[in-house]
Amino acid sequence: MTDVASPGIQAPANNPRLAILRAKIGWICHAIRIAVMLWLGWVLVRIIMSWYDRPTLEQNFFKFFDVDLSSLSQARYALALALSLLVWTCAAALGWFIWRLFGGYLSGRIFTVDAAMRMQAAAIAGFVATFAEVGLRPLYYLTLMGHLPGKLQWYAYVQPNDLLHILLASFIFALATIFKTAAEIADDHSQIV
Amino acid sequence: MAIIVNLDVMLAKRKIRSRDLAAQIGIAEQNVSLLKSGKVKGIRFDTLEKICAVLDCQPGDILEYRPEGETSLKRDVG
Repeated sequence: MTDVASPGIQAPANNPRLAILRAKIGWICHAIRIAVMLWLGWVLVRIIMSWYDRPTLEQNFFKFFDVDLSSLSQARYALALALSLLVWTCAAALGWFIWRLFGGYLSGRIFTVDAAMRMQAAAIAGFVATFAEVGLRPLYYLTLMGHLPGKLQWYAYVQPNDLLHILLASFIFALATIFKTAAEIADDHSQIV
Repeated sequence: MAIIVNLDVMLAKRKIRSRDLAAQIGIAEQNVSLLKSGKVKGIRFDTLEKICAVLDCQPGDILEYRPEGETSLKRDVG
C-alpha cells in the first residue's frame, strides 16, 4: 500500500495497486482542481459585477433586505468592497491549498506523510476562510448599514452555512490526522525489506 | 541497533555484486545497499530466504547480534 514514504527506501518498480488507484482518481483530481478554479472565478466575477454597478447594488439591497443604501458614502462603499475582496482572498488561499493537494495526488504522492500534511493545511485554510468570513461579516454589514439605525439583522453575524463549513473543515482535518498516522505507520513498514 | 548485518561480508565471500543480488532476489539495488549498511528496520523472511538461497549461507552468516560495546566475532573475509 505504501508508495515511497521514506526518502531512502524504494518502492517496488511495479506497484500496480498504486497505478490503478492513480488511474481511478485522476479524473476526480482534475475535476476538483477545475471546479475550485471555476468557483473562485465565479465568486470574483460576481463581486466585481455587483460592486461595479452601484445603482443595481442599491436596488438589490432594497429589494432583498429592505435597506436603502443611497446615503452610503463612497468611503464606506469602498471599504465594504475591500472586505468582500478580503474574504475572497481567504477563499482563494483555500483554493490554492486544494489545488496543491490534488496536484500531489496526481503526481503519485498519495499515501505519504506530506500528502496528509497537505490535507491538514487545506483543512486549516478552510477554518481560516470560514472564520474570516464570520469575523468580517458583521463589519461588512456595519459598514453598509451602520448609518441606518435598526437595520442590522441576525444574518449579519452568523448564518447556518457557517456551521456547515466548520464541520467540513473539521472533518477534513480529522481525516488528515488519521491519514498522517497511517502514512507514518506505512513509512515504518516500508523500511522492512 | 544491536543487530548487525554482515551482508557485505557474504557478498565478498561469494564474489557477488549488490546489483546482481538485488536482481536475483527481486528488490531494488538501493534497498540492498541500505540493508548492507543496516539502515533498515527489518527484513522479511522471504527476503532472507532468497538471500540465503542465492548466497548459499545461513541467516546467522548475515545477521549478528552484538550488544552495545562488544566487538564483532565474525568480521573476516576469506
